[in-house]
Amino acid sequence: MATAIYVPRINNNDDEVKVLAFDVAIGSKVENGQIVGQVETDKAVLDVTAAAAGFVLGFVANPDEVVKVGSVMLWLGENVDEAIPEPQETSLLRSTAKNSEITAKARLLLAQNGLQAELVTPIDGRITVEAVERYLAAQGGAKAEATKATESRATDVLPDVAGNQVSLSREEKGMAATVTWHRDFAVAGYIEIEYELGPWVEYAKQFQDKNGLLMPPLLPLMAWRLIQIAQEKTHLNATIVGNKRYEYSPVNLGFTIQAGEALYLAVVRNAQTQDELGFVNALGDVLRRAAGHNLKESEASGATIGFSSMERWKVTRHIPILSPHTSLMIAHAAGQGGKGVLGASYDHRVLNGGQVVAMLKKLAVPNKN
Amino acid sequence: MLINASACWPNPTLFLEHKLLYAEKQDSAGYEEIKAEAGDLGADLFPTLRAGSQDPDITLLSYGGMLPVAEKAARLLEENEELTVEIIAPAMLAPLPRFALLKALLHRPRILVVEEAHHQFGFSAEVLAMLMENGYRGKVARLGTAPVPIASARSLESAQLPDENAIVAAVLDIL
Repeated sequence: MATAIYVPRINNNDDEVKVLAFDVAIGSKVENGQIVGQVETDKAVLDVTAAAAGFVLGFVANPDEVVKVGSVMLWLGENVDEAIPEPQETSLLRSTAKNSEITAKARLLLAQNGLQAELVTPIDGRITVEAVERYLAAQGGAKAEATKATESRATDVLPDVAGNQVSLSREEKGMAATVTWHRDFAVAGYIEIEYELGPWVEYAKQFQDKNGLLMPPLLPLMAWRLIQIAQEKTHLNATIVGNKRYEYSPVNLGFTIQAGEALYLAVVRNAQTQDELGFVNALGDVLRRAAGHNLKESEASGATIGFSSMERWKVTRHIPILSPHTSLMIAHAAGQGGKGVLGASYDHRVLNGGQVVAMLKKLAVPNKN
Repeated sequence: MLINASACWPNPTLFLEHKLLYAEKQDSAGYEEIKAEAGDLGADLFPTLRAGSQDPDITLLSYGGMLPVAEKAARLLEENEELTVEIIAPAMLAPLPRFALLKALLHRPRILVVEEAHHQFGFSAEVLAMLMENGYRGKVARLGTAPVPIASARSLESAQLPDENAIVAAVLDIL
């Protein structure tokens, strides 16, 4: 009958020891008390001796392997041809927890896709990521989206009412990302003031005449004024990252434009480097490209401050959403009886109400200099 | 490394020695240093380390003698549960490298802090409170030793201290 030689305990603190070497070979004869190998802890190296005579049938542990005290190191037999008993697990990487029928990652995927586990055919008895992906692929689901499991919030499951899932367009995804940033990060406030329309209308008309333009560029000129103010007050052109205010070096002005069903935030980058006419033309260019759905990537992202107007729809006041990593979005609206409302959504982490009112008062009158 | 860092550190250094780590090799074993943030006192001398997935399903935050156990649990989670796992291991507990930890953890979806110590009113409580104060929105849990004296009997001590299976179970609980 085969006899096991077990891994000895060297001291009470060490439940695991390292097998250093074996001094015997398979098939060799071993006497009672003969040294067969060494094990090591952090404190000592110990010879392991045979408690009986016999032939080495085989090793269970391997040199340099860390094994549990009390596990089988090697087997001795009464003769060379004796069979080794069923091998025992010596690896330390063994969970005593019973594997469930669904892997944790597969469970996350099921939840993300609002699926019941019963729908998925297991692979080798378990529902794995591969099994869920196979199911999704068969249903025409998007694998790339399904495998990304980084959302921390509770997964929105499908409503219990019949309907169809429709993929979002690029523009719709952009809008969803923007409002999600606003919800998740900004602490949004809104302030408005009343102002006289006359001075701005007159200023825009003079600018039109002076530069031979087709239309008085009232909104681009107000946006240009905002850029000037933001250069003086750098916290207007900033955001919060971690515990610090991040003040942008360039002023990248984002301007909302509705083009058909799509809502864009068209961006003029480094707006502070342009003169007034240069900016009016640059903004005109990006707005034209937005209207034709031809914005370049750099013109559809990277805004550091925003300007939004709903005058075109005769809206008299609105509260805009802040675009990602901005702390200010001007809300321009239609005026009535010579007076208008100039508002601003702002990230209260960066700006307080007093700062926003001061900014709005400056913006309410053109800079005649 | 510890001697050099302590020599450069102008304040007293209290080193928590873990006897069971004597046999561990001095091997970086896939860990990388998280860049020290300017606001973290001493973090350049006693760095915080990171290993594993950059896009983890679960982040295990651990230190000292519990770290090898967390590593075993990470392997079990990856192999048996198909999860992507990240391990973050601060070398310095106090002053807490707050900025580095915030940067590393704030946007992680799930964090389990594993300690060998009694975890109530301790390191894990401080780290998780800091995260919550800074707007963390994911799921968290901590695993440590119950607030009772450590038993002398080997069998009872083993039952008290977290092992890899306890870590796996704690992770599955917060998924």
